[in-house]
Amino acid sequence: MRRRDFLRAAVAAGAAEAAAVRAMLAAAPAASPASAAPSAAAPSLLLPMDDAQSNHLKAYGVTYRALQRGSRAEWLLNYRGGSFLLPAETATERDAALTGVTVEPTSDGDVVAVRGEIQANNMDAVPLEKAPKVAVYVPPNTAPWDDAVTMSLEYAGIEYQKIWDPEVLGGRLKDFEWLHLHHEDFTGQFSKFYLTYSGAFWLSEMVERNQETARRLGLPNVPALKKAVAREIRRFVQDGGFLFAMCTATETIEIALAGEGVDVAAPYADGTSMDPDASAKLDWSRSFAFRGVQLEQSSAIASFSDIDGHQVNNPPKRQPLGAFTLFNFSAKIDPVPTMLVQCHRQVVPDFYGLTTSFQRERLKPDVTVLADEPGAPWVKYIHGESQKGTWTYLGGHDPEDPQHQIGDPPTDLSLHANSPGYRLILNNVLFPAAKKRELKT
Amino acid sequence: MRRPERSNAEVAEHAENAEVNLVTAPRETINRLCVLCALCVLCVGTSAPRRALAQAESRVLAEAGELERLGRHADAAARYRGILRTEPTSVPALLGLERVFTSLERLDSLVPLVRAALARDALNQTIHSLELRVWFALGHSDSVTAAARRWIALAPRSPDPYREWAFTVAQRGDLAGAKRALSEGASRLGDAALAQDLAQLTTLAGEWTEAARQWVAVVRGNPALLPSATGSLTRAPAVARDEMLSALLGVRGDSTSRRMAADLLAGWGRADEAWPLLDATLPQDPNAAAVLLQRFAERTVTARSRRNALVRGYALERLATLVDAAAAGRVRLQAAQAYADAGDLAAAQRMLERAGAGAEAGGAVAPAMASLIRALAEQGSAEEAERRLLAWNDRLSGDDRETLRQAVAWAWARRGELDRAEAVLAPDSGVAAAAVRGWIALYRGDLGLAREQLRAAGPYTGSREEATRRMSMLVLVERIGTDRLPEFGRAMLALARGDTMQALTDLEAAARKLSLASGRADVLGFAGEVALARRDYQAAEDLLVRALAADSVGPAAPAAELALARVQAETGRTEVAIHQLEHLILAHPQSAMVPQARRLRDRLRGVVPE
Repeated sequence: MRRRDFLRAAVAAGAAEAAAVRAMLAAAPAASPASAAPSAAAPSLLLPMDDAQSNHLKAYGVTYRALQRGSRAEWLLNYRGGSFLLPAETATERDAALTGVTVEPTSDGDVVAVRGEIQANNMDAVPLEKAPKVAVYVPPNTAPWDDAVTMSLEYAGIEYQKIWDPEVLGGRLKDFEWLHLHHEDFTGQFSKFYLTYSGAFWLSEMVERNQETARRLGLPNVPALKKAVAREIRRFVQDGGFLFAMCTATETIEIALAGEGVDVAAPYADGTSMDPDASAKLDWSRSFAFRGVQLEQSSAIASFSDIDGHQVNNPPKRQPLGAFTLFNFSAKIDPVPTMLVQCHRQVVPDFYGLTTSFQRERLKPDVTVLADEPGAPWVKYIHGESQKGTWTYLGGHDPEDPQHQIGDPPTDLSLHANSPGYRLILNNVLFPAAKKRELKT
Repeated sequence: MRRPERSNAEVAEHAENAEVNLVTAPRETINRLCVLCALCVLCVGTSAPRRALAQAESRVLAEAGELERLGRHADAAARYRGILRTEPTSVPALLGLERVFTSLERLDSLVPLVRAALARDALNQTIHSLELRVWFALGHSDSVTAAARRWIALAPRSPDPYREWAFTVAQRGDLAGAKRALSEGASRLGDAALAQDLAQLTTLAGEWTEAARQWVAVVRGNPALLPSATGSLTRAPAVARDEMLSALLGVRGDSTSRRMAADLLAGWGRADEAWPLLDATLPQDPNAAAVLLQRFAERTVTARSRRNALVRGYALERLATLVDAAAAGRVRLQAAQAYADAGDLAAAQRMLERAGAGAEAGGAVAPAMASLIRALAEQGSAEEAERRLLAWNDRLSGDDRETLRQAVAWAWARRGELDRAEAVLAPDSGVAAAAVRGWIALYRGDLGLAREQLRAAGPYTGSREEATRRMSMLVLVERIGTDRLPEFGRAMLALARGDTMQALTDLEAAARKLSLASGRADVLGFAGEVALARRDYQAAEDLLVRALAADSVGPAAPAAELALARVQAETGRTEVAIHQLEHLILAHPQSAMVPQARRLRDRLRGVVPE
């Protein structure tokens, strides 16, 4: 039989069957997202976050989307690794099945038992009110694969919007509740990539884009542009926003805030040398986390200041990686830091970044340390408040790529669905959803 | 006891010079002989007390070592200091103090002792190295430099100061400082003096292109270091290799750099690129050429691809012309094996003939002959393969005989000569033969026998890929509710021959003969996957839809849905594919296809990288 005859015969024979099958497939076994009828048999669903969970990262997404649909949720701090309790709605069950998130149908009696256990131990049940509006500060044409936070948001299926300098300076931050910064260099020195990647196309493109943005917004140079953005970010936090920053952004936004009116940038960034007395002129009352910092004066050294404990690109000072330990807090008295450290592992392998860690002696006294490397002079994960808002800093670039180099293949989170490091990032995404009264502690 | 003003080493050197002068200047013989005798008397006169001193020192050193082991660092330090009071240049004591003072965080106390030792033994390399380490550990980089310069001044023609200086700072991560030290030494002593150190340093620093250039200079000076050079450079990451090769190959007319490039390429599994370089730069000297060819052959012994095996054959054939007759025969057999692995049967045959592998040839030829027979069978020359197998039956190993019979049986089976295939396997009763018999029965359409033989073979024989294919087929055949289905057999044989179109036609015919309960859905689903594999998306979709129409809830349904989703994804209907996958996951939550479905869904939604 010739090919076209075969196809004709196959199609003719199958056409009727195909139509029936397509109709059957269209009537999917799961209900539409609008359906929210709870199951009578087990009115609640527990998403365990201990080792019983098959996909910790997507569990945050299931919870976030339940909040988006208007459902209630509770974060059971310190209970089975920081589990979530959701109503047993069809949409949630469908979402969990599709994403491979482990759920445990929980009867009213079981819920009572859970609450009893929470009451009697260092645990708490924090209601989650609504899904926060999430913004990620990132250049518009950037793929999500070079930023641990955007990767985790994509993987967990949590919606976010990208914003960049024009949007920040145009006042758009007020539209969001949560803002993420990653490896942006707020000192305007392009992360000092000139030292190792001079001539690289992507660096030229980054420089050109930033310079063009500065010109368009009427600013003299890129350091001035980034300082203006840093000021807006501070205003966002002080007006009640939640800020989460990783890697270079942590150190450089602090320097940019403290360095108002001080030349803290190398000549290739703004045409003038760094002020030789810059360190003494910095005003740390304007920053969130650090004080008394000594800037790196040499533009030939790939380091910004002595904030970073590991100095990964400064060979004489580079420190090897260890592991950091999450602190325990009182869930009932300190729910905020407790939320931020929820994890099924106490000890997490460390990972490098342009800023990997924070020297303890550079912290302001009111900073809450969430994790550190025991015995080391640096800490890894810190949190604090600034007027009405909060900020959290996590050192390092990618929890599952400890020695990340530019050009490395992107991390595939489906291979790290239980990553303790990535859980810390997602804790920060859900934390703003907690009921406001809990945050006043 | 009055200590001689000079060290014993200096005395011995002086004595040696005196002896040499004695030989070359007879007029001064007596004077020099007297000097020599006097010096010998002096040595003998002082040697007995010195032996006692040395024994006492050894005892105290042993005590100090034990104290160190017990963690009593302060006590150990006291012992070492005691030794240095009488023997200020005692290297073991100084090194011991380095260890214990580091533990006690009193390393600065070692500085005056080191300086005192150097005042007495200014050329002692170990003590100079110690001084550098101590200053570096104390964070006094300027003092490190000053100490190094003092040593250089004392030994201006020696590379040791630069080497130790570089090593000290490199060990603590200052690779740039180490490179500066070595470069300074090279500028003063010539490139060759510290070339290997520079090469090793740049390799350590991951400056691969520069390291390649440095190693070329080293190998040019000493060709025997080529294995060391390429051994270091082979570790370069893949992203650095092209630039390294450009640097090596950019030097015109430089055979050293080209040979290094060839050796690297061979080590990186790119032997087919390496061979032209090596071939063009083999030295005139046959011995030197033989060494390089032998090394190339060794580097490519694990060559996986046919092209790499082919160039290995070329190298071995060339090597055979450069070695003695006895070795040449062995080398030609290896060449024959390589050519057979590469599929060049004519060249393999040529090598065997030249190796004297005639009818009377012995067991040494057997491995090469086995490769040739295997290659003949794989290329479809079933008659020739079987003829040689019969001729060599008694000279092959038992394992080779068995695997070659299976290879020949496969060759017959692919030609449709199923009776001859079974006849070849007659002597075998193992699981490997059962696997082949199972497939032969399948090709005949004898599903009952196929089930029995494939079950007997189980997953226990063949490669992982073969075992998976066999077990997958067994699962399919077990779902077909009949023992004889010639159309299915014809389809499987057509697939084995690569005739996918015919296979699809026969599978369609086989499915028509089956009822819904007898595996029609399974056969249609399988046909759909065959069509998908050859990217015939329209045919695949029609077959898979019909498979699901026949059975949408049975065990074959999840695989059919997954394959259908792949078809939809490949044809750009991403949303439809996602919907299909969601249906699969929700309708068949326990299916083994669900993790693959979730992964594909994530990929189509763009939440994981491609």
